[in-house]
Parts: sequence; structure tokens; C-alpha cells
Amino acid sequence: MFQPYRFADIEVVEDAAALRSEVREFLDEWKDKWTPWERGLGWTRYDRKFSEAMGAKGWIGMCWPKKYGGAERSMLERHVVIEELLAVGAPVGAHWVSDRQSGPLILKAGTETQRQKYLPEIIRGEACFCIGLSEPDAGSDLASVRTRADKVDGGWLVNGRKIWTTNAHLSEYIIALLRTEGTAADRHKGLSQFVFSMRLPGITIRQIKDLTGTAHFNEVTFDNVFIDDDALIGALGEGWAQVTAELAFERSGPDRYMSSFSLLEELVEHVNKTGSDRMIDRQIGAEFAKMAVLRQMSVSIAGMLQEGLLPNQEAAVVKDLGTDAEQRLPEVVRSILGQDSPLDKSTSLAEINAAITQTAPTFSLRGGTREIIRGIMAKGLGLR
Amino acid sequence: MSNAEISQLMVDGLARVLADFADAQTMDKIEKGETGLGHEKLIAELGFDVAMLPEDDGGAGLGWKDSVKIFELLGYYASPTDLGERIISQWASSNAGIEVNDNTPHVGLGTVESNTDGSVTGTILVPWASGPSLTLVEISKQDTQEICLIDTASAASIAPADTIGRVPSQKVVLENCAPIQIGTLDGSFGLTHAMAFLRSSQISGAMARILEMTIEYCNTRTQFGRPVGKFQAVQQLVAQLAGEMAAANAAVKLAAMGMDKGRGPLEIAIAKQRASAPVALVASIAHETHGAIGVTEEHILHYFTRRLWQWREEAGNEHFWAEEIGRQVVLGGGENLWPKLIGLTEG
Repeated sequence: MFQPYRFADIEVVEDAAALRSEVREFLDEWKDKWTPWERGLGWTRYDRKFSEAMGAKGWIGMCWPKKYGGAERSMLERHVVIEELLAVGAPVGAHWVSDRQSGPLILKAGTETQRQKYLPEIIRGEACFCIGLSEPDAGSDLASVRTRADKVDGGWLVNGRKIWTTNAHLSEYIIALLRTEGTAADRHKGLSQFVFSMRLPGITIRQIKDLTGTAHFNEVTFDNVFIDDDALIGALGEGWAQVTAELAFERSGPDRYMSSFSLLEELVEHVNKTGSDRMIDRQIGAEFAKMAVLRQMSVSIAGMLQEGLLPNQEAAVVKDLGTDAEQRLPEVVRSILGQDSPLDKSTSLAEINAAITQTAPTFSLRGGTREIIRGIMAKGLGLR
Repeated sequence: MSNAEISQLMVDGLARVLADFADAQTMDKIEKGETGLGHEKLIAELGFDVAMLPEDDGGAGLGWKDSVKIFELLGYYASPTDLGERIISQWASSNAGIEVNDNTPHVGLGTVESNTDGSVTGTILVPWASGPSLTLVEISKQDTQEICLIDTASAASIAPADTIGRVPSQKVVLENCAPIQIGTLDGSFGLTHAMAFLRSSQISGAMARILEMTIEYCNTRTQFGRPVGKFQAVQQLVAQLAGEMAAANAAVKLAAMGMDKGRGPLEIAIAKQRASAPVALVASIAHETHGAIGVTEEHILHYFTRRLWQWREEAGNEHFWAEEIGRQVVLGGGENLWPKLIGLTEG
């Protein structure tokens, strides 16, 4: 039978229940502090103290080798931790990128020196990373990157601009995709990845406010920024292949379908209090079913990562279906509330719906637009 | 040999038989009720009816997760046979202690009400029945999963049903019909749930076939000087189809794992809801990409899309199950939403 995807059957993680209740106990001490608006902003929200507390628990970089401070736990155990965080809308922004993709990239492609330098700091919750991919002229078309790293004695000189760099203004480090050879016309060839401090001379960060008035992303300008030879991560000229693998990590997690979970929770609570009917039950039931199946797929992907597989195609499926579901939820809320949908923040449901309604457009942009993702899927299916 | 290996061998054997009966002409004959095509005998010889019976009772001892592969394969070949129903029938009879000997009863879709004198009343659809037959049907009960064996010859009325799926079926109206036997299914779910699981799996398998056919067509059909699959607009559609197929597939696996662990009703509701809900989108994308040829009688696509439209309705459509799921979720309130979701895999 034709089956293009490898979603494996994943059985219950041993000790999941113990780990889960430990995480819940930890979160119980924090979660009352967060407003519905904050919970609605989800995983971009930055709180260094929270990340340090997470680090102290051993829940950042928890699958990495013990010699760097990791706990060598499984990807499935990590899935337990991160889905619990997302379920309560925890402010994970100070370590999310480091834990999800920068750390794994350093572990996979980095030198021993780089691992020793960065991984322990990430694990303690003290190193926020940002991702230098998009540029003013390279969005979905990532291969047309222009920002250059030119070889000089003892290192490289970086010149150019990155944009939409989430939390750049709060980050200690960046992993940037830079052109080390040729021009934008050379596309995938001649790209390399570098890891370096965001505090180097020549780096200017301009915050960009989004439509909610919050500034979490930035434009980062590099003006003759000198970086050492050991900033190169992985092989020279292999940046494209590395980024592709990195993006698979970025796309594979429960953060790609759980952005609106808090909203569904508030909705269910509201309906529970005010009374339901058959049509409301149907709408909520359909959303619950979607989420249950997305979670099944997400857990399966964690299992595949644990087995050392690279589930690029499966991750694309979850991202496509997941962002669609989380984007639609505010409309479900409106349909259920009818004309009583408040436009202000007078109830926690209204407040969180306001946050999600306004941030929802980004759900299918970040990590690759819906159209790019579907293009990747089509290619994976063999459409030639 | 493990159950997974056994079920893989069974799937391979079944695939060899089904592949020979997978053309439009044969399927047309099957839908017209023609017998003697040979596949029924070959499938009967495989002896898979008892796949889910314990080994001590002559079965293969397959669980739900193992049986998914067989059910999906049936969907992948547009189910030219009632093997899926027969496996469910044997499982249910054995589980509920209803004696059927070698005669596998049909399974009725729908439930009947139990009257005070023990007789039953209700309307059911019996797929693959060409006339009166022994049929298993669920008795609507609050807290137990009762089923009964009836002879539809004693029905108030019985007539061939003209359905979208076109599989030979009988619509049976039972009025104070005395059951031959009554039994109770041991476990957390009843016959309708088991049939919902079968249909979900068949939908998942049929969607895989539809996706495969669509990819093949898009890579070979040329317009404007290139294969239509080269057009981004078409690629976006096919990707959507693939995503929905993957979701149906995952939903069925989620249910099967739960059923094998003694859970079930909520997981099955989710599977049938999630498999049925995208049928409209999947069928429309498949037909849209195939163009006019896909809606012609001689093309094979409609055997799959018509099955999908039929199966999404049977044993509860997506709206029925969404309502059931939503009722439970709303009742639990906001604070139980997340534990309920986790409980689907860790309960």
C-alpha cells in the first residue's frame, strides 16, 4: 500500500507520568503570574528568570550528552516537557530557539570547542540565541542571501542585514547564514553558517514593532563585524544543507500546533459555565479531534528523532495542518460567541482571543510560509 | 512470529488477491451484485474472517493495531469484498458469546431499540447483503454494549438500498423482531464503535490510494507543455490532500493503540471524526486535479470517492462524533481539557 509518510506508532513513554507531574508542579508556581494576553503570545515571550529556573530543573538541552551538562533523556521525554510548557502558555522565549535548534545544530555540526563553549550555557538557561536567516531580499527565497562573510586574516568580516530576527535585542548569540563565496545569483552554493556574540562591535539592532505594538523581532545590521575563524559552524560552503536540517528541527515540534491551545481552554471553560448546545459541542469536538491527532503526529515525530531519523516531510505535514488549526480557532470562538464577542479585554477569553487573532497571521509565516511548506510536501511526494 | 509479522504476512497475501480485482470493470460488476467473479472464493480461502479471534479458537489473535493494516488495505482497493465486516462480525460474536459457527453474519449499521418483550425495533442498513440474512446489530443501551443476532427475513420490510457507495446493501426495517441470540460485548466500546473504526481505517486506506493516483496523474498529464504537477497551484492542492490523508492515518493509529489498551470510545470517536471530516476536501481535490476524465464512468477514481462519501456517513459521520466528543470535552471544563488530551495516549 502506498504510504509516503513514516509516522511511527509510538507507545507511552515510560515514566512519562512522573515527569509530567514534576513539570506541572513546577509550572503551578509560575502560571498564575501570566495574564491571558501573555499566555496568548506563546513561545516568543521572553523571561530570563523562567528560563534559568527551567535550566536548574535540567529541562533545557535535556537530551544532550552529560559531558556538556545535558541529561541524556529521550526526545519523547523532551516532548513531554515542552508540550506541558506550551499548554500553559509559558514564557519560553529566552531559551526556546537555543533548545530547539541552535543547540542541536551546534551538537551536530559544531566543533568540540564550540560545544564546550555554548552548550553548558544554553543548558543553564543563560544563552538566548537568535536565528539569522531572513534578509530584506531573502524571505521565503532563503537561498538568495546576500549578507557576506569575507575572509580576512584570523577570521571573517561580516557585512549586510538580517531581518525578522526574533528576540535579537535580547540574545547573547546568533547563528547566521552568510555568503562566503559568490553572489546571491549563486543560490545554495557558497553559503556557510557562523555562530557569534550579538555584543560584537559593528552590530546594530533596530527593534521592529508588530501590529500588536510589541517588539519581538528586529532588523540586525552588520557593519564590518569581525568574527574569529572558530565562528564557522560546520563545513565551509555547507550552510544550505545544514540550514535545511536545522529547519526540520524548527518545524517538528508541538509549537507548530499549540499556539492557540490556551484559547481553546478558555473557550471550553466559558462554554462549560454559560451552557452549550449541539452546534457548539460539534465545533469544540472537531477542534479537540484535530488537536488530538496533531499531538499523535507530533509525538510520533519525536519518536522518529529519537531513532535518529530526519522527519522533514512528516514535520512539514504537522506544520501545515497545525498552523491551519491554530489559525482558525479565533474564528471558532467568534462563531460560538456570536454577537457577544467582546472587542476589548473585559474577559480572559476576549483578551486571549484578541492576542491570538492578531498574532495568528504569523503562525503560517514563521518557520517557512504555508506555500513554501506545501511546496516542500509536493516535492517530497514526487511531483516533478 | 509476532502479531505484527503475522498481520504483515496476511496483508501481503490479501494484497495479491485484491490487486487482481482492482480494475473499474470488475468493480462495476461487484457493485451490480454479480457473483462468481472468483475473488470471494479466494478471499474466503485465506480464512481471515477469524483474524481477531484468539488463537485457541482458531483465530490469528490479532489486536486492533494489527488489524488496521488489513482494514486500510481493503480501503486502498475500494473494498471489493465484505472482509472487513466479516472480521468485525467474528470478533463481536466471539466476544459477546454469540454462537455463529462457520456462518459469519452480516453486520447492520445503525442501532435498534429493545422492547419490553425482548424484541427489537429499528431501521438498519446491511452492507453486502443481497437479501435476507443473519445479521448482527447493536441494541441501543446506556451503560452496556449489547448486540443481537437477527434474521432479517423476519423484518417488517427489507429492500435493496440505492446508496452512493453502490455496494450491494439492504435497508431493513425491524418491528418487534425477536432476536435469535443476545449478547454483551466485553470491553469499553460497542459494535457501532467497532464499525466506525473499520470505516475510519478504510477511509484512510482509500485516501492513500487517491493520493497515489493523483500524484501519478499529475506527473503524466501534460498541459501547456508540461506535466500539470509542475504548476504550483496544483502542487498546493496535492499537498493539502496528502496532509489530510496523513491525519486520517494518524487518527486511526491513535484509536487502535487506545483500543488495544482497553480504552476506546473517545479515541474511536476522534478517528471517525478526523477521517470523515476531510472527505469533502480530499474528494474535491482529487477530482479537481483529474479534470473531467476523473468523473467518467470508465475511470477508476469514482469508485474511491463514492466509497469515501458513503463511508464518512456510516457508523456516525463527522458531525455525529464531533458532537459526542464536544459534549464530553465541555462537560470537563477548561481545566480538564489538557489532561483529557494527554489521557488519549497515557491513560
